[in-house]
Amino acid sequence: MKKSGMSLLEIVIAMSIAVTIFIPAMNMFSTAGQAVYKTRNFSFANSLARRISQHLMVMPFEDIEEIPLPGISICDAPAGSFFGPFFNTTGSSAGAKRITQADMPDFYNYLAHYDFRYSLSVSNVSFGDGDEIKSVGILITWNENNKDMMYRLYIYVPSL
Amino acid sequence: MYHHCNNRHKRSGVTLVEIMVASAIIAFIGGIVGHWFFIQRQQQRRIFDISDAQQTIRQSSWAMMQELRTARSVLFPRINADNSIHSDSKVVFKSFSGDIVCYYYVERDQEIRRCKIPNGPGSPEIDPDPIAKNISQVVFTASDDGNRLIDIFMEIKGTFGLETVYLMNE
Repeated sequence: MKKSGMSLLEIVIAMSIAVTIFIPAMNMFSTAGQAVYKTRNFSFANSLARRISQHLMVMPFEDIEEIPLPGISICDAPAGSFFGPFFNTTGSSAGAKRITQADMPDFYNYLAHYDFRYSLSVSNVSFGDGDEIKSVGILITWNENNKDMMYRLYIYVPSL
Repeated sequence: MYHHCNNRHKRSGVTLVEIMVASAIIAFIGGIVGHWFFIQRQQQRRIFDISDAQQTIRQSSWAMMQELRTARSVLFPRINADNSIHSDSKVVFKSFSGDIVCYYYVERDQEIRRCKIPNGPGSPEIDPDPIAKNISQVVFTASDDGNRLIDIFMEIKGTFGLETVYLMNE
């Protein structure tokens, strides 16, 4: 009754072991993919912060104010914020568009998916003779795979 | 006689049922692995696309920003008469050397191109190579009442780029 070759049970066990080893190896590839998405979001957050920094340079000095966490959402940003209005191809303010689901669906979905927000921390430095500078910390936050991510950029804005 | 009979009925190898069960298991596992490879292939293609898009956005933004930052003045777009922002798919400015330079989006070819009208004698020249290819959309926005800020918004297949240029010479 003794048979040569492998039994079905042996084959199933061998397959199970092979799959068990294979699954972690597969995860290595998806980890590489996640890194690319992470880099994309960091790069985008960097460009958001740079955009805010450039806008701060032309803003009235008195209007630069603290925006506490959790900050202002970039999609559906209120009028008067750095991202509202966003574009306007017409000749008057009536045609100004914001980052909304209706006006910019793809961009809106990307921003809403990761919940990109910005906040500002502002410190005044006075030199006593009327000259002032503001140290502005621009904080971009977003959520990636249930992790809170953050990008911070500091700039100095003179009162002159 | 009994032994002879017993030996005749003793078989080696596998039965048809065993082969079928083993084949089913192999097919099942093969299906899972094959499906996973298919998904990974798609994912990998998507990752390459994102990576390429990022590179294109970075490269083209940099090229345009370098020239815009040192521009003497932006001629188009400029903010509206009621101080609202104004956007367009092209930007025209006077460069540091006095040339009139235009970056414009060609929707049909999905390209950003550069054209220059020389300061002094000479005819307009369009650069032989585009600044960027495969661009889904580009918007240049004048957003400051002094016309010192130009916002650049770009999209390449779901990857977005935002840049803002502050004119140093304005």
